[in-house]
Amino acid sequence: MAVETASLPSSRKTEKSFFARLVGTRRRRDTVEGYLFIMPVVLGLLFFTIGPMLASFYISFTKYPILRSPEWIGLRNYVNMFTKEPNFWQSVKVTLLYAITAVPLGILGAFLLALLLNQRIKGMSFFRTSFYIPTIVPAVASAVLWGWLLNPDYGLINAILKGVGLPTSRFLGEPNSALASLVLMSLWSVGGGMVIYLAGLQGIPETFYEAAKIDGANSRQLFRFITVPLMTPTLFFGLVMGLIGAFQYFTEAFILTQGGPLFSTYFYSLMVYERAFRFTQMGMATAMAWVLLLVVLSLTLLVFRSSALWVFYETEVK
Amino acid sequence: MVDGQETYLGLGDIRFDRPKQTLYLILIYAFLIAGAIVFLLPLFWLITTSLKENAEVYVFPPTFIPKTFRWQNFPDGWFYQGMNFSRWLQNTVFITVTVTTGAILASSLCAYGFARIKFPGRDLWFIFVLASIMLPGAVTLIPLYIIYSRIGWLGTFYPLTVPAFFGGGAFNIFLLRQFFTTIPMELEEAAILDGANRFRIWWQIMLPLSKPALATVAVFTFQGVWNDFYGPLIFLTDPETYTLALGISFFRGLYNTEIPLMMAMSFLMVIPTLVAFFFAQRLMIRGVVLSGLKA
Amino acid sequence: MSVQRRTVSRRDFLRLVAAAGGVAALAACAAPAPPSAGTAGAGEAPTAEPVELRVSILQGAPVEPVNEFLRDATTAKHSEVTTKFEFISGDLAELVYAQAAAGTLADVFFSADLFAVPFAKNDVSLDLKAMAESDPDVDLDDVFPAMLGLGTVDNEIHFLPSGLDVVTMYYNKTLFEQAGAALPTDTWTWDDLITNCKLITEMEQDENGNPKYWGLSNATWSWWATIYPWVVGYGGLILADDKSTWSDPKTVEGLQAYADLWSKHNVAQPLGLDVGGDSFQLGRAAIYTHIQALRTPIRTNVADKFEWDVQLMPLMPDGKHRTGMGTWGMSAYSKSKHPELAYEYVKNIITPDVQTKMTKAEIIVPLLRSIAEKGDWMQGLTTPPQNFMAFVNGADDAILPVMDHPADCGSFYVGVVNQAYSAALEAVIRGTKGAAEAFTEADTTIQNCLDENS
Repeated sequence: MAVETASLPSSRKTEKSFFARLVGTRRRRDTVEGYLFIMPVVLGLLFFTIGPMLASFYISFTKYPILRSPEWIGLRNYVNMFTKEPNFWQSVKVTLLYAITAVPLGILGAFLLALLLNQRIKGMSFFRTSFYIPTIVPAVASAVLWGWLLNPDYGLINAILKGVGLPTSRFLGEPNSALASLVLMSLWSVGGGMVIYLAGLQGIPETFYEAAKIDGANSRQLFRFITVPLMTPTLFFGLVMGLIGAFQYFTEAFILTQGGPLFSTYFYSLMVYERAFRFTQMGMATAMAWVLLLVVLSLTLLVFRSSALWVFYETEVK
Repeated sequence: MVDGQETYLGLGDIRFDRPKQTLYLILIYAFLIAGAIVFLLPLFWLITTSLKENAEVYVFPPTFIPKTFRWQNFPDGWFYQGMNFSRWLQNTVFITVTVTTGAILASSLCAYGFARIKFPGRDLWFIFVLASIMLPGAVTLIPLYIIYSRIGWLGTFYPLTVPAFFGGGAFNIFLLRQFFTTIPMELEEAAILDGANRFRIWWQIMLPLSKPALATVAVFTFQGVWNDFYGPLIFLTDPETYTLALGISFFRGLYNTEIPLMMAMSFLMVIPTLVAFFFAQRLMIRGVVLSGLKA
Repeated sequence: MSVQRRTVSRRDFLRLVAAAGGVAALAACAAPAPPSAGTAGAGEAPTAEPVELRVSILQGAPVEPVNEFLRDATTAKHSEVTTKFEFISGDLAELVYAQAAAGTLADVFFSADLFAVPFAKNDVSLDLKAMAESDPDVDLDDVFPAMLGLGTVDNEIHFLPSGLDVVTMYYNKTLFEQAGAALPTDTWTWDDLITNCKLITEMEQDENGNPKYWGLSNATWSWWATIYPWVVGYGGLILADDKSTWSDPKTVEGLQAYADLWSKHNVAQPLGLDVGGDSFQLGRAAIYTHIQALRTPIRTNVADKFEWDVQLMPLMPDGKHRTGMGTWGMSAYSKSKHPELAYEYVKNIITPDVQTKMTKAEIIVPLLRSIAEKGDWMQGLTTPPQNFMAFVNGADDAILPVMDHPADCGSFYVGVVNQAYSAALEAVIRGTKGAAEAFTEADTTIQNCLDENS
């Protein structure tokens, strides 16, 4: 439902809005005001994003070893990527596996944690802060920390597993456990998602619950018919950003495994990075990056399409 | 209906005459405490390591509590030869505060436009905003670097701060857009009937009602910028302009990492973020405003 | 000094808008505009105007103290020169490539063996050879060929190395003695090493039956300086007449012998076991192979936990102490406005005076034969190690990496070549593939790249 402003008393309107006088109809006024509000990001995209993006699009059709000028080779990068790259499909597999495990687990974990930390219990500030802590340790330091925690030989986690009688693991050291270890590590930082969902829960107007309670709803019904629908916009956000993030997963793998052992953590972005700055094949790296963009963009659009079915908006966004 | 009289349960409410409430409390506290221990591990490890001697970092099995507490690591790290952490702290504070301010203002303006106004091209622009973060940074770095180089921004804070005022980042815009969509339409309509223009609605209704979301944006931006090592590494050239995160990375030498010193400085660096989060999460507690307005 | 902050002028703003349209960005991706030419080669007279040399280095030891020596030596001779240090950190590839692409690289910059080929073949670094040969202050013939060779590409010199950084064997004396094994000598063969390391590996097991101590650390298992000696020591080669020859029978034999340290003899620590690479310093692995620069961190980190020393690498079947090396050094930017002064700065790294200072500061082992082989350079240095001459005596058996791959295929260090051989070797060590099969695959991958770029 769009804002119904046409029925407003026109006398008031004309003194208030300069643009109303300028353009007359509501539709046009909305357009002008809409663009005024999104002006910062439009300018930002024009200034800082379009240039590099267009440049990279051009580079993807060239051979560009960075230190020499790009040389036009047409579609060769795009063809070779699918036909000649020995580890291309492996990296696609690794990235997809990660995305379909880490994204749902991360959303579920963060949402449950947010529900838990939304209870009215003393000491909650402390607990919220504790769960958030893994996300604020600087990356340089946390890489060293994780190296130790997951060390198969003397790491803390194996020591604990051994202590409670569970089997230990070589974690990042073996091809069959390395990717799972990175998924596990990603769950350590559910604190970020937790904060977003917590803010979402806190943003649900109290009046909705009160009205439902008066109508005799029990707590399960409150959750099912108020909390969940009103959280869908936030969960939708979590899903879209989770997907974009998972497809570009890079830092931890770059620092801790460098794609190994035996390419078991050879993420797509890692491949792009290696092509760019290890192989100095910037043309190929850029072509790979554009394929990634197209895939992630299509997925995002698909999720947006589906949102009409499950996301509850107060305003009609689509 | 102002929720001033909300009750908060604590361990004192574990009472045998109320078994259901007692079970709930025991379960929830058990889970929270166990979880907190697991999630506090990295910080714990950071702190103990920051107090160790170099040689104690390399012992098998690792020690949980340092044999001797080497407090000297903190002054040693701060005044490490060639490092200028006092200066870098100032730079980091300046950049972080500027970017956080810019990002909150810009992203909430844009988010309002995307969430609450219907106009042609809106969805296309929104998708474009999202698409802008779908290309790995590795392939846009060089064109971006060249642009900044041509306009003389290299070595200044501009590449790190100015973009924040132009949108505040896709993440923040999207997040706030989602929050704005959940705010009841009637509030806005009532304000319009009272003669408010959209700018006033944004400022006087949307922002106050979105305090939890704004606090989230603030915390994420603050923390992201505070810990950013990559941007300063690429765009700053003069040691006088460096930041804390960059400084900490210097403990990683060619052949050796000064692990205890690095951890000591990392710990100092974590404190402000920790404090910021602790206070911000209080803002995330349900605001009184909303129920008051509707009453 | 205060933070330099420029204001955005109207012109900057317009340029920014132009850039936004992609015009400038596209143009900029072509070769960087040459810096306002004309000054280069004009000959810097001693009374020249003040010149500021930008020097891009790593913060802290060892690079920063060395550059203080270089700066002092430069300014003592050229009073018009001042220097400005800029620091790089972490993965320098991105920053250095971005700077090179934008034409803003410092006049003098930190470089290392792995950058020699890409920087040379793409004209980023200046060829220092002619200037060095006509310079009475330096004597290239006195530099160990193994070290000078790391910066030599197509008979041009693209960086000058800092010290004599030959891979040498660090060993845990205490652990050898506890196991009743003989201590390494300078006549050990690899078989001697295997025999004695078995005693260490078999000394004590944990509850799962895994050794508690290992003979060899796995920290440098895929480094070319670890692997290539096995290829050469067994008479193999990896590139011949533009053909990749990793599957050559002798090469495969050598690499299989190397992998046998894990799969057959069980004296090397399994690959997945020590992510941090610290097992030597923890006292868990008896042998660690690396260059002299590691002696200082090892001494600090080991402290009094055990006794250790260094020894020459064991003899290969060809009767030599085959080993590799790895070093860092300084390069001059090919588009520097002051190439002569940039050279004047860089060259100091191999002058006897600065070499002696660096040696006394315990940063390097001298790479000048005239100093290193006399032996008195080690007087007064902190111990351990005791056997300092082990760092020098392996130098003439050290082998240079293959530098002849086209730049687009990478090298021993990076790129297609590196990825292909590391993957093959890892499969062989982990026992998932035989050496012949794995290295035939590596050959195919590398050959595809060579054909594409020939």
